[in-house]
Amino acid sequence: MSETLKIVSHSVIRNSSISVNGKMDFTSGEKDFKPFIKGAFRHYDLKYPKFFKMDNLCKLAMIGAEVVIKHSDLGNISKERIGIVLLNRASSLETDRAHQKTIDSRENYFPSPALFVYTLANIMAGEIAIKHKFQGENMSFVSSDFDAELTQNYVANLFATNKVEACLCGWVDFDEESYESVQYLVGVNKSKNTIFDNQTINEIYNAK
Amino acid sequence: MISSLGFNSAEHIEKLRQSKSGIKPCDDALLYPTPFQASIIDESRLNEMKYEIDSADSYTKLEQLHILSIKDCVSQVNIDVTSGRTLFVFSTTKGNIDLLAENYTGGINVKRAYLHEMAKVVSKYFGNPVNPVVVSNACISGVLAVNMAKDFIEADLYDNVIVTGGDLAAEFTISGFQSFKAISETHCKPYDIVRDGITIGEACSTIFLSKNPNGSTILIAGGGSSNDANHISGPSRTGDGLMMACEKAMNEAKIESSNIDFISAHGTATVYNDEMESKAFNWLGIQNVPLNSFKGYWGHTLGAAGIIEIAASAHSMQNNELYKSAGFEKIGTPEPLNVIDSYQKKKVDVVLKTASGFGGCNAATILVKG
Repeated sequence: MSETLKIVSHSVIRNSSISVNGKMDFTSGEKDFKPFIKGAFRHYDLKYPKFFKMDNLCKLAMIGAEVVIKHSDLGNISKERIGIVLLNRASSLETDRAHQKTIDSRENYFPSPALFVYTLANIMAGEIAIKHKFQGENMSFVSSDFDAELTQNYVANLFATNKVEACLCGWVDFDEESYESVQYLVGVNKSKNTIFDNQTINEIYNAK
Repeated sequence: MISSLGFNSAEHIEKLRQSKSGIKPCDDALLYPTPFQASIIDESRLNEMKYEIDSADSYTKLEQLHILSIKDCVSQVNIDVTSGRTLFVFSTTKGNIDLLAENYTGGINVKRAYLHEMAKVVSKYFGNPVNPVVVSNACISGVLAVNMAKDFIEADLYDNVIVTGGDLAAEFTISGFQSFKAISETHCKPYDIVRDGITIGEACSTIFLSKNPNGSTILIAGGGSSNDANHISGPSRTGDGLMMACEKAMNEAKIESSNIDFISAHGTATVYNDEMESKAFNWLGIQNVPLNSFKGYWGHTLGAAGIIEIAASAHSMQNNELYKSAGFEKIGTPEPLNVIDSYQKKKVDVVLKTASGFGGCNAATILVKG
């Protein structure tokens, strides 16, 4: 590949804090996820009522994506050329358990489409795509650990085969109240940006 | 290929030639409180087959299916599954979701409901040293997994990729689709005027892709995916997303729409999915190409769908024959389609395979016989 891929912007959400490009952007005294993410939603003044219908995983993904995209100059890249490649550990298990509870008892049987639709890991990419009108490539991986190499291999190839001009990537995991979002936008030739490689992605992930 | 139609590819092809569906009425209160139709793998046959698996009872039903399917696939080729140049890729939406049920009595640790745990258990069975990749992207998982395998081989990351897809007709899934009122009251009828929803199926299928032809003449020549950016549980009303995915696959494969001999479409038999596909295929100018949906044979098999349908398409190419779109009688899409209404012999050199799913995702792949 002739062009160098760069990380245009990145966000990290964990421990009731959100950092963007390595700098703290929002922090909350709320230890629990729900009040924390609601506080973040208000802080960024999103005005997006659909947010309140989403499950925790999608809320986490939405906020993480929002701040990355806000800090990324996408120039005149067509939204049909912006991909979304996400990875996590627990897939949608948090919501899977909730759906399972609605069907465990025949006496108290109440499966709901509003819940069931969130029992897929890629719905978070769908929610981000709807909000930002990104119509490019989609991929959702499940892995035991943050796997920089898998994403790097896959995304570099999307660029090499000219299927994307920009790609929102990252790790968004929610499981039994523990949560973590590390998202980054990969683009081409933004000379001042960081190079997109395994080492850089791991540094972003491991930064305290 | 493992589904209600059998435990290997030959059994499937025989039934496809006879246009025989595996969908049957199902009155199992453990799966759903009222009777419905589904495509279910023969349990007594699985109980016989599982003796081919070492310590079979230490694996879940889906893991057993994966092991049997992979064994059947790799037994037909000369390949070292223990090589670091061989990658296992799993395509699944829900994996061992049956483990979450309160009434689950199988004795397998619930941590195997984590998709990567299932993948590791199965790849370890075969002694493969590489961390397996799990693709879980709703109903396009299988097509995406095959496209990724092609990319990874072309990028020289691996020499061989074993792509396996599986999902169960679990209570979890059936109850969810029922709550959407997405399940047909009868047998699913893709593209038909009276179609009224999907039929759930369970299946497991494996495709072996290699940088060496290994005697095969079928090439995965191009792939693409997209998002409608429109709705999380309903397809695009225009078909623009599916059209873009197909265009990317065709561009990569350097295939013109006039070269396509057969479309193995998604065809879930919901009103809106099939409508959307008809619009996309008309936009692409491929509405006259013979098209089927395999869902009328084995139902919608979710994470297995792309894999088993690409496998069936490859047989269609090898045998130069087209299989009837089971359940179809009279066209019922707003734009015309050339739905295959009977088994026929025809030269099949180029196939377009498509899939669309929840989350607004679409994927396409082009298979070329060289």
